[in-house]
Amino acid sequence: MLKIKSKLIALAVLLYAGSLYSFPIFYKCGAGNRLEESFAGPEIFSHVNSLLANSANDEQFREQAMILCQGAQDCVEELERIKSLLGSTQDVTAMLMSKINIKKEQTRAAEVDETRYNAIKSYVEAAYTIRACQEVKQTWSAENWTHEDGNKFAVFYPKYSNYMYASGCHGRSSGNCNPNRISDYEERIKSALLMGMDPYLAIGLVWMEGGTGQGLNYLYLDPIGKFAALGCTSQPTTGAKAGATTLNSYSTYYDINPGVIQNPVLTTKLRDFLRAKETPAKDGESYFCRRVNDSYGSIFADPQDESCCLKLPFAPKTVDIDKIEEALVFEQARKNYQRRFRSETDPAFRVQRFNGYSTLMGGAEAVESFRSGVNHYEDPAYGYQTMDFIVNSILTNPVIHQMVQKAEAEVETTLGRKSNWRSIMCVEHANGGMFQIDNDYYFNKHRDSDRLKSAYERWNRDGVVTGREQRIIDGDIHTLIDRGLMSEADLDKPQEDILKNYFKNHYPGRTTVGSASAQQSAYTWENLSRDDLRNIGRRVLER
Amino acid sequence: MKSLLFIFLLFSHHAYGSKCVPIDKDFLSYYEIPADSPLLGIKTKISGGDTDKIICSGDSCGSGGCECALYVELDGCLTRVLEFRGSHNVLGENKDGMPAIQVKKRGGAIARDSSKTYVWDKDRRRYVEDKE
Repeated sequence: MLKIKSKLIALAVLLYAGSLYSFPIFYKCGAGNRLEESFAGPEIFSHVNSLLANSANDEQFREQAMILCQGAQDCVEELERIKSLLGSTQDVTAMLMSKINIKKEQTRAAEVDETRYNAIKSYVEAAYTIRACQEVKQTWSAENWTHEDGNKFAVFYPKYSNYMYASGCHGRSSGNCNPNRISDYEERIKSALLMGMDPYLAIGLVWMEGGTGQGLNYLYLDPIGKFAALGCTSQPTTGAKAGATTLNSYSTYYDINPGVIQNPVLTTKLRDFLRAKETPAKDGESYFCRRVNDSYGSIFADPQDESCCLKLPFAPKTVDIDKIEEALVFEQARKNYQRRFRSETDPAFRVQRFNGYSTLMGGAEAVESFRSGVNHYEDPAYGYQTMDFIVNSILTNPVIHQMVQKAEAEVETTLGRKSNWRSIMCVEHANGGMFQIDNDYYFNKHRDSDRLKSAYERWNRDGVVTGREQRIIDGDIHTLIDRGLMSEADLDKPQEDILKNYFKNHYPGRTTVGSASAQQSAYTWENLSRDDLRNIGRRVLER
Repeated sequence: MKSLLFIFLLFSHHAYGSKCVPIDKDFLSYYEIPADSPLLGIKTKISGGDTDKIICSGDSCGSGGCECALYVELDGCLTRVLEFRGSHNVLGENKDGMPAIQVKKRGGAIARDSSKTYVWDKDRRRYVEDKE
């Protein structure tokens, strides 16, 4: 009984710590931009440190520990042990934390030297070796994060924003939950690794695109992407001129250049993919061909007319077509983050490519108003949020971590070598090394992304806005009226006055993504409390 | 998709009088994108002739669709008459001699699916959303 209680207390300690502090994520990049290792910084220390800071003496510390442990003596003793450990490393911890704070203001990803990296790692490991932290570590075991059904699993995303749905729940205390499921990720993580795609980025992308309902099964290619993945080129055209080789890709037309593509790097990966998926292909020669408007490709002995064909130095079975198609999805996704956007060095800009760049988000289509008005050439909001998912949730999720490790081991066993994938965290670290990033970095970048900045400046300067800006302002005003934040009577005025009223009285509270969202919804863009996190965990795991 | 983007600048102003603003220049200016951005040019048939064009910003193409604009010939110049993001479909029904255009956009975890129809407004000489 006491042990269960202690476990709960330990969980509370951890969540409490998570809810109060930002902390650094440390990661190590190896050859080929491979992510070798990552772990969260000494947040456990910082929590006990705060107990120490709030206690004038040992007696007060014990009192606070008693309250936290609800009288459980072994729990109190465990906290005392952490305190002892902290006592002997106090200076080091303080030094680390102060350095972290300085770095936080300076840069996105700061390089740390090997000595410091190993020292921090050893402190984190040391914390885990003492009993209290062993209990905490248990709460971080994949088993504890998995539902009794062995399939649903918990995702802790610590922010109360529109993107908290990644946790599986849309509300912090009530509302429907649609948890992530291991079966939607496990096999596809292996697919990603085999094709050289960052599995953590792949998960971040599907959370952005499809939410939690389908996991990695949500990844898909539009029809033109299916040809691009094979390496075939095309020219855009119109439906009116559609011919035998014109592709209709969601009502956008392309004249496909038929041909035979030879790509030894890709075909080697495809062969390894089939081998790792336990359907090894026989030696031989064949062609994987896709005709225009064919959703699926087929395998032929010879190249086909009016088709895009990939020459294969092996002969897969027809039943393997599904697997080849799946591999091509990850191949195309992999290609998308291999190069910088313009000369931007923040990986978030590369990730934005999956959604596209606009100088004025929402200027040409209706989007949720808090997302509108952002200039992606300055603030890649989609990229920031995806990176935030990775840093704040995916990298530290024990179930995901275990799935990746398992997939890595399977690939190594089957192929006799490690998988070769580039981490989005490492693409800008050509020589590898050890780095730290504050877990709040991308969250803050997204929350503080400017909205309608140039529109405001233009209005302030010239008293006018452009047509695109007006469209977003109209959407904003519609939202404000809808939420009771603006009176409909305010619209019975000349356009000039409506604009003035908007910029003077409403825009100041909606200049950023986070402030606009907070103004028009319940989302505060702050940390979820420990009770919220526990509540979400209970609803997902149903225990 | 991105790998298929070509710099497809359409120097269509050569075909028209010098009073016409080149459509690539108009497009870059309207969307306020850098001059070296890749553009996708799509020939289309809206107003009856073969000169109509849709231009899209290559950088904008992604899961949110592409930011595009439709240009049709008015008074001897190719003129921007509709701006949209998403996939377009020219519908069979006509209004004032021009076909309706449907623009669809796939939703996601945050965004809803959307489908809007635009019809020709001869007085404003541009496409407007059909709210009927």
